[in-house]
Amino acid sequence: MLDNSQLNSIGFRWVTEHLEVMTPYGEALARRPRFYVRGEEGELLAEQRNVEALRRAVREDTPGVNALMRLLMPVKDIRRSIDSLSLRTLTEVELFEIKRFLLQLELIAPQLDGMRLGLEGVSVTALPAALDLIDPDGMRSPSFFVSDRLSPVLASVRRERRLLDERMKREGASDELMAERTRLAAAEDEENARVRTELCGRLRAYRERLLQNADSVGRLDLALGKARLAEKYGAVTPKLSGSEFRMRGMTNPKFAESLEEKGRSFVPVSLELKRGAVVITGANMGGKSIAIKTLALNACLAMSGFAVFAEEAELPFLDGVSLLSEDREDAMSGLSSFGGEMKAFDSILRETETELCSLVMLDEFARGTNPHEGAALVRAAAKLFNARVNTFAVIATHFDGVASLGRLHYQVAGLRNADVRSIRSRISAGGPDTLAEFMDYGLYPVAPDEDPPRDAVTIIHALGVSSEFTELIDV
Amino acid sequence: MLYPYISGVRTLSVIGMCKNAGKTTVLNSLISECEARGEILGLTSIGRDGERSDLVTNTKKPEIFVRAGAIVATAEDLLREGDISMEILDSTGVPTPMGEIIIVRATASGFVQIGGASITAHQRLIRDKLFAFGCDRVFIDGAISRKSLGNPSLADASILSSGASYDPSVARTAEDTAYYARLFSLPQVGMEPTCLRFTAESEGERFGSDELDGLAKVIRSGASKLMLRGAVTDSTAKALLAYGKLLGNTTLIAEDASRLLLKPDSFEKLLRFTKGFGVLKGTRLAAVTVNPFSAYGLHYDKNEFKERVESALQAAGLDIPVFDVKDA
Repeated sequence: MLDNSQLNSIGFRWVTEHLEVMTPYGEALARRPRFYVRGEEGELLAEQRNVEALRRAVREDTPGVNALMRLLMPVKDIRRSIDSLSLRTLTEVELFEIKRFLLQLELIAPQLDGMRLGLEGVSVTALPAALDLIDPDGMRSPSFFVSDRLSPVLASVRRERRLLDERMKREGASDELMAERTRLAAAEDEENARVRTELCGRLRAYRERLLQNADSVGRLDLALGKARLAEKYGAVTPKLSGSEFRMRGMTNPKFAESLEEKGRSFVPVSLELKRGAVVITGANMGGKSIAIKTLALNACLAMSGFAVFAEEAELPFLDGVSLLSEDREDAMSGLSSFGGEMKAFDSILRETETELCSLVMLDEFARGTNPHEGAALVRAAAKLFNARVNTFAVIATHFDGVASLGRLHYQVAGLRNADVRSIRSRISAGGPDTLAEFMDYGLYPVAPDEDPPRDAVTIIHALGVSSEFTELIDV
Repeated sequence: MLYPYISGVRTLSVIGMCKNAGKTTVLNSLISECEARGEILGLTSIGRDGERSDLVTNTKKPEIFVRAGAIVATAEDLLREGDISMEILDSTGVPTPMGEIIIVRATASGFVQIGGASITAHQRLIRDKLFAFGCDRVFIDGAISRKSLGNPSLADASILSSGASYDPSVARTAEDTAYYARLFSLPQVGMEPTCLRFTAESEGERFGSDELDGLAKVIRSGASKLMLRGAVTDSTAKALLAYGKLLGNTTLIAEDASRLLLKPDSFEKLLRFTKGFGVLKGTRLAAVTVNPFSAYGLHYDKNEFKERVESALQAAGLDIPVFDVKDA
């Protein structure tokens, strides 16, 4: 799987940061995303169904969803207090937090039941018997104190304190009365602690059910966050099939957002993968990396139970998603960039060797060496993956003679259809950034023997580089 | 004794200039006067960053005494230092080095130790919560330190507590008391749209050249009001004073008095070279209390101390009553 810096660079972190969760439990799940592993296919499908059900509710039962969110919002993280139940006597503040949680469960459970979502693995249940222990007077008020009912001794010392307070108010706080007050306060404190120890002993029986509820609240919160995000961006639930890998109209909201800031828009990426190598060729600056990262993002989202940013998506259950790109080598120290890349490639090969199904993406593999050897390395990689039936590999390259080895060949159109002279006049007016306006970032299936476009020269001409140099270019 | 001076004050902060300034005596006296009149009191403190070890190792009993009905916001770790019996009302989520701020209602009288938040927005949240729980009046326990003036702007009015523990010299203590009294009495000025803003440096950092360029531009434009955002420190003063007479027609404006972390002589110089100082959020200094007894043994003469503070306040043009803590 991808490391944190890769998850950040493909835009996965962007997605988790844009997940709106209400509770600290959901927050914790969002921060450490779960990638479902082999054997958990059923759980992943269940998560997909949960997100779908909540999405329907977001669309069709807005008041219900809003009510649910309002009830989730005040939930605090009490797992440490619950854990401590078996170790020590909880403080009044901790018991207050548990009471608040129990009160919240009393509200969330019927709300959720009433919405009839049929969520799997999410079971929020009220625990009135536990609440009765903490709140034996049945007041169900949001505050907490150790009830007089729990101990006649406590009730009597408190009565004495009240009487003394009244006397002090009448007669003034003499040293004698203050000393008596201190004595009673100590006596109350001692009995209060004893009663709490007893109370915690009885609450211990609910430890597992409290934790299970906390867990369910977190799952519910996360799935609701995923559902709302999917609705907002029009994401689709990917079909997890056996062997097809087809992604149509994928987008990447992180990149789309930064493009929109520049007044441009993201060109959706469609890709069909085959077991073995699929090759993407295309111009420099033409968006090959963006296409690869967009695929990586949506594959990771699918394996984490998210809807994907696409019009239509079907992919197999993936044991691993690997990406070899510039970002990864940067993280490796001590070796030259080429050496680092080869070591990283080696570990990807080892990791994926035994997996039943993996997605491996190589972005400008072997870019750091000369074109002759570089092309040979990329061809070797394509052959290797073609021989592996467990791997869907995507190789983006601008080397010649690789595409013919691909099961499928895609090309970024780049500047192919652009007119050099109009680019040039636009660039001299608006600067080199305006080149992007002429780039066709679309990814098109092309014939296996189609050569990578010769955009480098076009770009040089368009940038208006000195003719003394351009006249000498011979391709 | 002090009660008449705080009538109509919903939020009062009692700010000590040093330890043993008698702030606790003042608070206790006010608490008991208000409680005797049936008021529901809220108590909170503003944070004491970096004083955690002091507070934790402090084995002295907490000294603020409240009766049943008072509502107290304090850090979780400090709750068990007190001996009120209590009902937990709220856990606020506001963090402090001594745990989250918890709001409790005293159900029997007792001593409490109060520790609070150090961020203004948090302090405001706590104050507002105390009112939401039904307090008639909120007292804020504050202290002047190197890094903070005790945030008087959080309150409608303040009481400043000065004492012999501040400095061995009674003259010096009286002078500095008057200095803080001036800061807490700075006039509130409105922010006009034409007023130029300048962001003063963040705490402890020097001006960068960009800021200085910006400042130069603002001053050369002959602005009649110059808003200083953030903390105004001695290095802010130094940078401003480099423009000397150009500032003659400019009123300096700070967000509130707590942003003025200036040595008295820097403040004096700024006053001399500018048209004056104002604050966007002003506060009122209701009274000054003095404690002639020093924790370090160098006690002042009771009458001399009070008289010196009174005349220093008068010299600063301030009409503020001064009380000996024993009479508070």
